[in-house]
Amino acid sequence: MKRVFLLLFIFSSFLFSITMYPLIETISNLKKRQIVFKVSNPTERTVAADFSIKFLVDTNGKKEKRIETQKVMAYPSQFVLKPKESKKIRVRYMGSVLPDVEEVYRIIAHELNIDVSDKMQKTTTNKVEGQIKMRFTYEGLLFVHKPKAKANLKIKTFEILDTNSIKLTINNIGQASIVPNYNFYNFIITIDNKEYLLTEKNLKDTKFKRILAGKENILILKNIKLPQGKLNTVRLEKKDKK
Amino acid sequence: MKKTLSIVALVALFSLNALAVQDEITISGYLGGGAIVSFGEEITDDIVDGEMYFQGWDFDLGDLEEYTGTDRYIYTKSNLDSGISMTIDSYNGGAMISENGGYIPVTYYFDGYDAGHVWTLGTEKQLTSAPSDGENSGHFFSFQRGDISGQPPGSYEAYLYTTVSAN
Repeated sequence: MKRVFLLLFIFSSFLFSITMYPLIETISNLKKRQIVFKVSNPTERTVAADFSIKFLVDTNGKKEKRIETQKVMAYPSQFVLKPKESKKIRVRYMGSVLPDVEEVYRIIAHELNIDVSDKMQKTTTNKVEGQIKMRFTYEGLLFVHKPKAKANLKIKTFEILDTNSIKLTINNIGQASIVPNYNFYNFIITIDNKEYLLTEKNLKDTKFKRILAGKENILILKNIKLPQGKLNTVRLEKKDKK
Repeated sequence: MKKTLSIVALVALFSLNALAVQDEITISGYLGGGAIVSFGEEITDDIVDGEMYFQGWDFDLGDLEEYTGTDRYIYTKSNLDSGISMTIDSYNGGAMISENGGYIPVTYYFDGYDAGHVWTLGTEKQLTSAPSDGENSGHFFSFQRGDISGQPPGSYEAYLYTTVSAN
Protein backbone atom coordinates (compact mmCIF):
# COMPACT_ATOMS: atom_id res chain seq x y z
CA MET A 1 0.00 0.00 0.00
CA LYS A 2 2.94 2.30 0.60
CA ARG A 3 3.68 1.98 -3.04
CA VAL A 4 0.27 3.29 -3.78
CA PHE A 5 0.65 6.14 -1.36
CA LEU A 6 3.75 7.30 -3.09
CA LEU A 7 1.83 7.83 -6.27
CA LEU A 8 0.32 11.15 -6.86
CA PHE A 9 -3.30 11.08 -5.99
CA ILE A 10 -5.56 13.24 -7.99
CA PHE A 11 -7.82 15.45 -6.06
CA SER A 12 -11.05 13.70 -5.43
CA SER A 13 -14.40 15.34 -5.14
CA PHE A 14 -16.54 14.40 -2.19
CA LEU A 15 -20.11 14.40 -3.22
CA PHE A 16 -23.02 14.91 -0.97
CA SER A 17 -26.15 13.49 -2.27
CA ILE A 18 -29.89 13.84 -2.12
CA THR A 19 -31.94 15.27 0.67
CA MET A 20 -35.56 14.84 1.62
CA TYR A 21 -37.93 17.21 3.30
CA PRO A 22 -39.93 16.91 5.50
CA LEU A 23 -38.89 13.88 7.46
CA ILE A 24 -42.14 13.51 9.35
CA GLU A 25 -45.71 14.00 8.16
CA THR A 26 -49.14 13.13 9.50
CA ILE A 27 -52.44 12.47 7.80
CA SER A 28 -55.34 12.86 10.18
CA ASN A 29 -57.92 14.16 7.76
CA LEU A 30 -58.96 12.29 4.65
CA LYS A 31 -59.59 15.55 2.87
CA LYS A 32 -55.85 16.05 3.09
CA ARG A 33 -54.85 12.56 2.19
CA GLN A 34 -52.29 13.70 -0.34
CA ILE A 35 -49.07 15.19 0.85
CA VAL A 36 -45.84 16.15 -0.80
CA PHE A 37 -42.28 15.25 0.02
CA LYS A 38 -39.49 17.06 -1.70
CA VAL A 39 -36.31 15.33 -2.75
CA SER A 40 -33.49 17.65 -3.74
CA ASN A 41 -30.13 17.32 -5.32
CA PRO A 42 -27.78 19.93 -3.84
CA THR A 43 -24.80 18.63 -5.76
CA GLU A 44 -23.33 19.69 -9.05
CA ARG A 45 -23.98 16.35 -10.63
CA THR A 46 -26.99 14.59 -11.98
CA VAL A 47 -28.12 11.82 -9.68
CA ALA A 48 -30.68 9.04 -9.78
CA ALA A 49 -32.91 8.30 -6.84
CA ASP A 50 -35.81 6.15 -5.89
CA PHE A 51 -38.62 6.75 -3.49
CA SER A 52 -40.43 3.99 -1.70
CA ILE A 53 -42.89 3.45 1.09
CA LYS A 54 -42.99 0.60 3.55
CA PHE A 55 -45.48 -0.20 6.25
CA LEU A 56 -43.79 -0.15 9.62
CA VAL A 57 -44.84 -3.27 11.49
CA ASP A 58 -42.62 -3.22 14.54
CA THR A 59 -39.83 -1.16 16.04
CA ASN A 60 -38.87 -3.56 18.78
CA GLY A 61 -35.47 -5.14 18.39
CA LYS A 62 -32.42 -3.87 16.63
CA LYS A 63 -33.92 -3.61 13.20
CA GLU A 64 -37.30 -2.33 12.23
CA LYS A 65 -39.75 -4.75 10.68
CA ARG A 66 -41.19 -3.30 7.49
CA ILE A 67 -43.41 -4.78 4.83
CA GLU A 68 -44.59 -3.77 1.38
CA THR A 69 -47.78 -1.79 1.21
CA GLN A 70 -50.28 -0.66 -1.41
CA LYS A 71 -52.15 1.52 1.02
CA VAL A 72 -49.93 4.50 0.43
CA MET A 73 -48.86 5.32 -3.08
CA ALA A 74 -46.14 7.65 -4.28
CA TYR A 75 -45.36 9.19 -7.62
CA PRO A 76 -42.81 9.28 -9.10
CA SER A 77 -40.97 6.38 -7.57
CA GLN A 78 -37.77 6.72 -9.58
CA PHE A 79 -36.33 9.83 -11.08
CA VAL A 80 -33.24 11.67 -12.13
CA LEU A 81 -32.33 14.96 -10.53
CA LYS A 82 -30.20 17.45 -12.34
CA PRO A 83 -27.80 19.63 -10.36
CA LYS A 84 -29.68 21.76 -7.84
CA GLU A 85 -32.96 20.29 -8.98
CA SER A 86 -35.78 19.26 -6.64
CA LYS A 87 -38.59 16.86 -7.27
CA LYS A 88 -41.93 16.88 -5.54
CA ILE A 89 -43.11 13.40 -4.68
CA ARG A 90 -46.86 13.12 -4.24
CA VAL A 91 -47.82 10.63 -1.59
CA ARG A 92 -51.43 9.56 -1.28
CA TYR A 93 -53.17 7.53 1.37
CA MET A 94 -55.45 5.08 -0.41
CA GLY A 95 -57.55 3.94 2.53
CA SER A 96 -61.21 4.92 2.51
CA VAL A 97 -61.31 5.67 6.22
CA LEU A 98 -58.76 6.67 8.79
CA PRO A 99 -57.62 3.69 10.84
CA ASP A 100 -58.73 3.26 14.45
CA VAL A 101 -55.15 2.43 15.34
CA GLU A 102 -52.43 4.55 13.83
CA GLU A 103 -50.60 3.25 10.80
CA VAL A 104 -46.98 4.23 10.43
CA TYR A 105 -45.14 4.23 7.14
CA ARG A 106 -41.49 4.58 6.30
CA ILE A 107 -40.94 7.10 3.55
CA ILE A 108 -37.61 6.28 1.97
CA ALA A 109 -35.62 8.36 -0.48
CA HIS A 110 -32.50 6.64 -1.65
CA GLU A 111 -29.82 7.71 -4.04
CA LEU A 112 -28.95 5.01 -6.51
CA ASN A 113 -25.46 3.91 -7.38
CA ILE A 114 -26.04 4.69 -11.00
CA ASP A 115 -23.86 7.09 -12.87
CA VAL A 116 -26.24 9.32 -14.81
CA SER A 117 -23.86 12.20 -15.14
CA ASP A 118 -22.15 13.07 -18.35
CA LYS A 119 -19.10 10.95 -18.81
CA MET A 120 -15.82 12.76 -18.89
CA GLN A 121 -13.00 11.74 -21.11
CA LYS A 122 -10.30 10.10 -19.09
CA THR A 123 -6.71 10.21 -20.06
CA THR A 124 -4.43 7.37 -19.23
CA THR A 125 -1.86 8.33 -16.66
CA ASN A 126 0.20 6.57 -14.06
CA LYS A 127 -1.69 8.39 -11.36
CA VAL A 128 -4.31 6.96 -9.12
CA GLU A 129 -7.58 8.71 -9.55
CA GLY A 130 -9.95 8.63 -6.72
CA GLN A 131 -13.42 9.63 -5.88
CA ILE A 132 -15.47 9.22 -2.78
CA LYS A 133 -19.18 9.58 -3.10
CA MET A 134 -21.64 10.05 -0.35
CA ARG A 135 -24.88 8.19 -0.60
CA PHE A 136 -27.73 9.22 1.60
CA THR A 137 -30.86 7.39 2.44
CA TYR A 138 -33.55 9.39 4.13
CA GLU A 139 -36.08 7.45 6.13
CA GLY A 140 -38.99 9.64 7.05
CA LEU A 141 -42.17 8.74 8.83
CA LEU A 142 -45.77 9.12 7.78
CA PHE A 143 -48.39 8.73 10.47
CA VAL A 144 -51.99 8.04 9.53
CA HIS A 145 -54.43 8.24 12.39
CA LYS A 146 -57.64 9.78 13.59
CA PRO A 147 -57.36 13.35 14.82
CA LYS A 148 -57.53 12.54 18.51
CA ALA A 149 -55.42 9.41 18.52
CA LYS A 150 -53.01 9.31 21.44
CA ALA A 151 -50.43 6.97 22.87
CA ASN A 152 -51.02 5.26 26.18
CA LEU A 153 -48.01 3.58 27.68
CA LYS A 154 -48.09 0.98 30.42
CA ILE A 155 -45.12 -0.71 31.97
CA LYS A 156 -45.72 -4.42 31.67
CA THR A 157 -42.63 -5.68 33.47
CA PHE A 158 -39.43 -4.32 34.94
CA GLU A 159 -36.24 -6.07 35.80
CA ILE A 160 -32.97 -4.94 37.29
CA LEU A 161 -30.13 -5.87 34.97
CA ASP A 162 -27.36 -4.66 37.22
CA THR A 163 -26.92 -2.02 39.86
CA ASN A 164 -27.32 0.75 37.33
CA SER A 165 -29.72 -0.51 34.71
CA ILE A 166 -33.38 -1.43 34.52
CA LYS A 167 -35.05 -3.29 31.69
CA LEU A 168 -38.62 -2.22 31.03
CA THR A 169 -41.20 -3.86 28.83
CA ILE A 170 -43.63 -1.17 27.81
CA ASN A 171 -47.01 -1.67 26.18
CA ASN A 172 -48.60 1.00 24.09
CA ILE A 173 -52.33 0.42 24.46
CA GLY A 174 -53.18 3.72 22.82
CA GLN A 175 -54.08 4.55 19.25
CA ALA A 176 -50.91 6.42 18.32
CA SER A 177 -47.19 5.79 18.56
CA ILE A 178 -44.75 7.75 20.67
CA VAL A 179 -41.08 7.94 21.57
CA PRO A 180 -41.14 7.44 25.34
CA ASN A 181 -38.39 9.83 26.23
CA TYR A 182 -38.30 12.27 29.10
CA ASN A 183 -39.68 15.04 26.95
CA PHE A 184 -43.04 13.34 27.27
CA TYR A 185 -42.79 11.20 30.38
CA ASN A 186 -41.48 11.24 33.91
CA PHE A 187 -39.73 8.04 34.84
CA ILE A 188 -40.40 7.38 38.52
CA ILE A 189 -38.87 4.52 40.45
CA THR A 190 -39.57 3.44 44.00
CA ILE A 191 -36.74 1.97 46.03
CA ASP A 192 -37.40 0.87 49.60
CA ASN A 193 -40.74 2.64 49.29
CA LYS A 194 -39.10 5.95 48.49
CA GLU A 195 -39.84 7.58 45.14
CA TYR A 196 -37.16 8.92 42.84
CA LEU A 197 -37.75 10.89 39.68
CA LEU A 198 -35.14 10.03 37.10
CA THR A 199 -33.56 13.15 35.75
CA GLU A 200 -32.45 13.88 32.23
CA LYS A 201 -28.93 13.21 33.38
CA ASN A 202 -29.97 9.80 34.71
CA LEU A 203 -31.45 8.96 31.33
CA LYS A 204 -28.72 10.29 29.10
CA ASP A 205 -27.46 6.83 28.18
CA THR A 206 -30.88 5.42 27.44
CA LYS A 207 -31.82 4.87 23.82
CA PHE A 208 -35.46 5.65 23.28
CA LYS A 209 -37.27 4.00 20.43
CA ARG A 210 -40.68 4.73 19.09
CA ILE A 211 -43.36 2.36 20.36
CA LEU A 212 -46.06 1.73 17.82
CA ALA A 213 -49.71 1.69 18.81
CA GLY A 214 -50.76 -1.72 20.05
CA LYS A 215 -47.16 -2.91 20.34
CA GLU A 216 -44.67 -3.40 23.09
CA ASN A 217 -41.02 -2.46 23.21
CA ILE A 218 -38.17 -3.16 25.52
CA LEU A 219 -36.49 -0.09 26.95
CA ILE A 220 -33.30 -0.34 28.94
CA LEU A 221 -32.61 2.50 31.32
CA LYS A 222 -28.84 2.47 31.29
CA ASN A 223 -26.39 3.82 33.82
CA ILE A 224 -29.03 5.48 35.95
CA LYS A 225 -27.10 4.95 39.18
CA LEU A 226 -29.79 3.51 41.38
CA PRO A 227 -29.77 4.15 45.10
CA GLN A 228 -29.09 1.11 47.27
CA GLY A 229 -32.19 -0.87 48.21
CA LYS A 230 -35.01 -2.92 46.83
CA LEU A 231 -36.65 -1.72 43.66
CA ASN A 232 -40.37 -1.75 44.33
CA THR A 233 -41.93 -0.12 41.30
CA VAL A 234 -41.22 1.71 38.09
CA ARG A 235 -43.87 3.89 36.54
CA LEU A 236 -44.31 6.35 33.73
CA GLU A 237 -46.13 9.57 34.28
CA LYS A 238 -47.14 11.59 31.28
CA LYS A 239 -45.93 15.14 31.44
CA ASP A 240 -48.44 17.91 31.14
CA LYS A 241 -48.22 20.00 28.03
CA LYS A 242 -46.86 23.39 28.79
CA MET B 1 -0.39 6.82 13.31
CA LYS B 2 -3.38 8.95 13.69
CA LYS B 3 -5.56 10.34 11.00
CA THR B 4 -8.32 12.70 11.46
CA LEU B 5 -11.40 12.99 9.37
CA SER B 6 -13.70 15.86 10.00
CA ILE B 7 -16.98 16.81 8.51
CA VAL B 8 -17.12 20.43 9.36
CA ALA B 9 -18.89 22.87 7.16
CA LEU B 10 -20.77 23.56 4.04
CA VAL B 11 -18.75 22.88 0.98
CA ALA B 12 -18.34 19.43 -0.47
CA LEU B 13 -14.68 18.78 -0.90
CA PHE B 14 -12.49 15.85 -0.23
CA SER B 15 -8.82 15.41 -0.66
CA LEU B 16 -7.40 12.01 -1.03
CA ASN B 17 -3.98 13.52 -1.08
CA ALA B 18 -4.49 14.20 2.55
CA LEU B 19 -5.37 10.66 3.38
CA ALA B 20 -2.49 9.20 1.53
CA VAL B 21 0.28 11.60 2.19
CA GLN B 22 -0.51 13.71 5.16
CA ASP B 23 -2.60 11.14 6.95
CA GLU B 24 -5.22 13.70 7.52
CA ILE B 25 -8.50 14.34 5.84
CA THR B 26 -10.93 17.12 6.09
CA ILE B 27 -14.32 16.72 4.59
CA SER B 28 -16.65 19.60 4.37
CA GLY B 29 -20.14 19.05 3.35
CA TYR B 30 -23.47 20.61 3.11
CA LEU B 31 -26.22 18.08 3.31
CA GLY B 32 -29.33 20.16 3.02
CA GLY B 33 -32.94 19.36 3.62
CA GLY B 34 -35.03 18.23 6.50
CA ALA B 35 -33.60 19.35 9.76
CA ILE B 36 -30.62 20.86 11.41
CA VAL B 37 -28.45 18.38 13.15
CA SER B 38 -25.10 19.31 14.52
CA PHE B 39 -22.76 16.47 15.15
CA GLY B 40 -19.39 16.17 16.70
CA GLU B 41 -18.27 18.70 19.16
CA GLU B 42 -21.77 19.41 20.30
CA ILE B 43 -25.30 18.79 19.27
CA THR B 44 -26.89 22.11 19.78
CA ASP B 45 -29.51 22.93 17.27
CA ASP B 46 -33.16 22.20 17.36
CA ILE B 47 -35.00 20.63 14.53
CA VAL B 48 -36.19 23.46 12.42
CA ASP B 49 -37.70 23.95 9.09
CA GLY B 50 -34.47 24.30 7.26
CA GLU B 51 -31.42 22.40 6.43
CA MET B 52 -29.20 19.76 7.81
CA TYR B 53 -25.61 20.36 8.67
CA PHE B 54 -22.84 18.19 9.84
CA GLN B 55 -20.42 20.09 11.96
CA GLY B 56 -17.22 19.13 13.60
CA TRP B 57 -17.65 15.45 13.17
CA ASP B 58 -14.23 14.16 13.87
CA PHE B 59 -13.09 10.79 12.84
CA ASP B 60 -9.98 9.61 14.51
CA LEU B 61 -8.27 7.06 12.39
CA GLY B 62 -5.83 4.85 14.13
CA ASP B 63 -5.36 4.25 17.81
CA LEU B 64 -5.68 0.61 17.13
CA GLU B 65 -5.09 -0.60 20.60
CA GLU B 66 -8.05 1.30 21.96
CA TYR B 67 -10.48 -0.97 20.29
CA THR B 68 -10.85 -4.24 22.09
CA GLY B 69 -14.30 -5.47 21.15
CA THR B 70 -15.57 -7.20 18.11
CA ASP B 71 -15.55 -5.66 14.69
CA ARG B 72 -18.67 -3.68 15.38
CA TYR B 73 -18.81 -0.31 16.94
CA ILE B 74 -21.86 1.65 17.93
CA TYR B 75 -21.86 5.04 19.45
CA THR B 76 -24.82 7.22 20.10
CA LYS B 77 -24.81 10.84 21.00
CA SER B 78 -28.06 12.31 22.15
CA ASN B 79 -29.48 15.63 22.94
CA LEU B 80 -32.96 14.99 24.14
CA ASP B 81 -33.57 18.65 24.84
CA SER B 82 -33.62 19.20 21.15
CA GLY B 83 -34.93 15.75 20.43
CA ILE B 84 -31.96 14.84 18.32
CA SER B 85 -29.57 12.02 18.60
CA MET B 86 -27.08 10.37 16.39
CA THR B 87 -26.06 6.78 16.17
CA ILE B 88 -22.97 5.66 14.40
CA ASP B 89 -22.93 2.01 13.69
CA SER B 90 -20.18 0.39 11.78
CA TYR B 91 -19.97 -3.22 10.90
CA ASN B 92 -17.33 -5.32 9.39
CA GLY B 93 -17.47 -5.23 5.65
CA GLY B 94 -19.79 -2.31 5.47
CA ALA B 95 -23.06 -3.80 6.60
CA MET B 96 -25.49 -1.27 7.87
CA ILE B 97 -27.78 -1.62 10.82
CA SER B 98 -29.91 1.27 11.93
CA GLU B 99 -30.31 1.84 15.59
CA ASN B 100 -32.98 4.13 16.86
CA GLY B 101 -31.42 6.34 19.38
CA GLY B 102 -33.51 9.43 19.52
CA TYR B 103 -35.19 11.65 17.08
CA ILE B 104 -32.95 11.27 14.08
CA PRO B 105 -30.52 8.43 14.31
CA VAL B 106 -27.87 8.47 11.66
CA THR B 107 -26.15 5.35 10.61
CA TYR B 108 -22.82 5.46 8.87
CA TYR B 109 -20.78 2.96 7.16
CA PHE B 110 -18.02 3.27 4.77
CA ASP B 111 -17.55 0.93 1.92
CA GLY B 112 -16.06 1.04 -1.47
CA TYR B 113 -13.68 -0.35 -3.91
CA ASP B 114 -11.05 0.52 -6.37
CA ALA B 115 -8.83 -1.45 -8.60
CA GLY B 116 -7.00 -3.69 -6.24
CA HIS B 117 -8.10 -2.09 -3.03
CA VAL B 118 -11.03 -2.25 -0.75
CA TRP B 119 -12.16 0.50 1.52
CA THR B 120 -13.89 -0.47 4.66
CA LEU B 121 -14.85 1.17 7.86
CA GLY B 122 -14.20 -0.50 11.10
CA THR B 123 -12.38 -3.55 10.00
CA GLU B 124 -9.29 -5.18 11.38
CA LYS B 125 -7.31 -3.00 13.67
CA GLN B 126 -8.43 0.37 12.55
CA LEU B 127 -11.52 0.75 14.65
CA THR B 128 -11.09 3.00 17.61
CA SER B 129 -12.94 3.22 20.83
CA ALA B 130 -15.72 5.60 21.62
CA PRO B 131 -14.57 8.82 23.14
CA SER B 132 -14.44 8.71 26.88
CA ASP B 133 -13.36 12.15 27.81
CA GLY B 134 -16.64 13.91 28.07
CA GLU B 135 -19.25 15.71 26.15
CA ASN B 136 -17.02 17.45 23.68
CA SER B 137 -15.36 14.43 22.27
CA GLY B 138 -15.47 13.82 18.61
CA HIS B 139 -16.79 10.70 17.04
CA PHE B 140 -14.01 8.33 16.43
CA PHE B 141 -13.87 6.19 13.44
CA SER B 142 -11.41 4.60 11.23
CA PHE B 143 -11.30 3.28 7.79
CA GLN B 144 -8.71 1.61 5.75
CA ARG B 145 -7.74 1.13 2.23
CA GLY B 146 -6.63 -2.42 2.13
CA ASP B 147 -4.44 -4.10 -0.39
CA ILE B 148 -5.44 -7.01 -2.46
CA SER B 149 -2.27 -8.65 -3.46
CA GLY B 150 -1.50 -8.73 -7.14
CA GLN B 151 -4.02 -6.11 -8.13
CA PRO B 152 -2.66 -3.00 -9.72
CA PRO B 153 -3.49 0.39 -8.29
CA GLY B 154 -5.84 2.39 -10.38
CA SER B 155 -8.83 4.60 -10.39
CA TYR B 156 -11.36 3.90 -7.76
CA GLU B 157 -14.64 4.94 -6.34
CA ALA B 158 -15.57 4.64 -2.74
CA TYR B 159 -18.90 5.26 -1.14
CA LEU B 160 -19.85 6.62 2.21
CA TYR B 161 -23.35 5.48 3.01
CA THR B 162 -25.49 7.31 5.48
CA THR B 163 -29.01 6.74 6.64
CA VAL B 164 -30.91 9.53 8.31
CA SER B 165 -33.88 7.97 9.97
CA ALA B 166 -36.65 9.73 11.80
CA ASN B 167 -37.62 8.04 15.03
